[in-house]
Amino acid sequence: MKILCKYTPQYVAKICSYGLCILALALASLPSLADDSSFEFSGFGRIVSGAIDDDSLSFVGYDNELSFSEQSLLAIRGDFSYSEKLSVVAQVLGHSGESRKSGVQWLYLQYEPTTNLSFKLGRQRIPFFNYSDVIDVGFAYDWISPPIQVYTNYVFSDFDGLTSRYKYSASSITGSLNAYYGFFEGELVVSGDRREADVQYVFGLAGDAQWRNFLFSAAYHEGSVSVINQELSGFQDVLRQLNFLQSANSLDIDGNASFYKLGLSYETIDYYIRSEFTAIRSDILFVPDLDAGYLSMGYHFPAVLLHATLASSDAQYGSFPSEIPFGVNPQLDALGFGYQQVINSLPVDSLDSFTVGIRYDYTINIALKAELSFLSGKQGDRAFFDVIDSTSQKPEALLYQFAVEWIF
Amino acid sequence: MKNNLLASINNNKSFGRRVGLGLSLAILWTTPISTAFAKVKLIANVDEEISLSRQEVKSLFLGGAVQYELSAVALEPDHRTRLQFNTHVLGLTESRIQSYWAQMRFSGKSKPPRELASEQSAIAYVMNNKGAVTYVDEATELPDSLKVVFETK
Repeated sequence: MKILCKYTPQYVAKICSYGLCILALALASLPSLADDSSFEFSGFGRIVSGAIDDDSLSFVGYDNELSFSEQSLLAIRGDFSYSEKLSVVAQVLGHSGESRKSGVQWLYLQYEPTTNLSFKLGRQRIPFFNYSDVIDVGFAYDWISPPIQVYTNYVFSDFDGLTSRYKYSASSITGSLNAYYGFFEGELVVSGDRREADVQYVFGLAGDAQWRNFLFSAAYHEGSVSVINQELSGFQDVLRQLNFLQSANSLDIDGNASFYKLGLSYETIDYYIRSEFTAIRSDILFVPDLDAGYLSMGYHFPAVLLHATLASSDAQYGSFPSEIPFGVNPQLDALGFGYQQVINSLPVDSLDSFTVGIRYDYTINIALKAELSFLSGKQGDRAFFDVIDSTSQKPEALLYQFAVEWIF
Repeated sequence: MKNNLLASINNNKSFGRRVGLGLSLAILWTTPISTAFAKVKLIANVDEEISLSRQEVKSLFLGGAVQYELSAVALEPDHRTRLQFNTHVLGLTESRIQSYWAQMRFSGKSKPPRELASEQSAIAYVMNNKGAVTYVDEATELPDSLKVVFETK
């Protein structure tokens, strides 16, 4: 039995990661074996500064003093092609913000049996939404900060597993179909706090189709997650001892979550209209149902691009059990009050925003950007702000940002 | 006096040339990019005659799938013919293309096509590589061995 337990999916994933590192080193040390082997070195970086106009609020680390340290980063990528079909890729990223993790983001073996089919095995980023897997590559999109309602840190970003991608073409329609399966062990943001998480599995199916100037995309992802919630484990024990099992279990962060996405864009040489609508559903009461979306428009002038984006999110928690009676005795009242306190402190991230920005491509690999976002949440909600006294202040602010983005 | 001045302008060829050049530059400067240049054609090193749709050409040069075994060869970003191709075929500005490739490269989806400095070197490369495809100005003379697979209208 012990032997069986040892071979959990996570254990297998770990072994696979180690195996991949050894294989990468082995391939890198034998470049002379294949005539068409090559090594490519590339990377990207961004320096972002920003501030909000309110001195009592904080939003993604920004307060009302100009800060350069929230979103600036540098990444280096090594791409070793052993042959036309086989390559190893490693990407290491250093992030200036405290809420973001630095380290190896990508480390995978890529195999392309045909020009239209490819497989990747190893550490990768989950392509939940359109820009999820390139969220750090600011040069790849026109915003400085993609709409936080969709690109929230609710979702974990890395996984160890297998991805397959098939590109198709049918004369007037071209596109791709993608599927992946994997695991993840690491930090995850749940109800605003970073916690150790264990994602037993995560899989996804995603497809896109381009027809004339339209691009349509859709995706479904599902994961099973358990998170250690140490602060509440003592409280849960008390609830269990008094036989309030539903209440005790409702504080477990353990269950399944599903992610849905629909995207529609229209692009010409002069302008574009892009939209994305997402939904997160989960049977974990601590994770709210989150519906979000944005509509973005951009216009290319000869030298610069101007863009405007409307975005919105609606977060709703499921109903928590109410089995602790009130008015029986002071101890039970205190327990019931404590339970309500925990539930009421869960952050509600409903936010409306309007962003306008400008992008100027100084050279083919350097872009300068400026962006202004008006953020507005309801009184009593957190609305993605960091720290807020929700009883006295409405989560509302103007966010200014400036950025230099480059790739090399 | 007026007639004399006109006559002297007419007689002064270099002055006329300068005015002509100035006017041409002014026209170039103010005319939208999309109408200022000539057409492009796509040439391939293939055995059989094939004809690609615009969507297939876009897909081929943006790292997507095509029904044939073809590999794209592009010109460098500042090349005039590349600008025509971007505008009339891909329908994207150069900066949009660069940000698109940043997305594809750093998510490991695909890599940009090989880039060469001149039409001559692109033609030479295509001649030496089966299935290679590149774009050239409509007026460019081609060796008999290469086939035209797409032309802008």
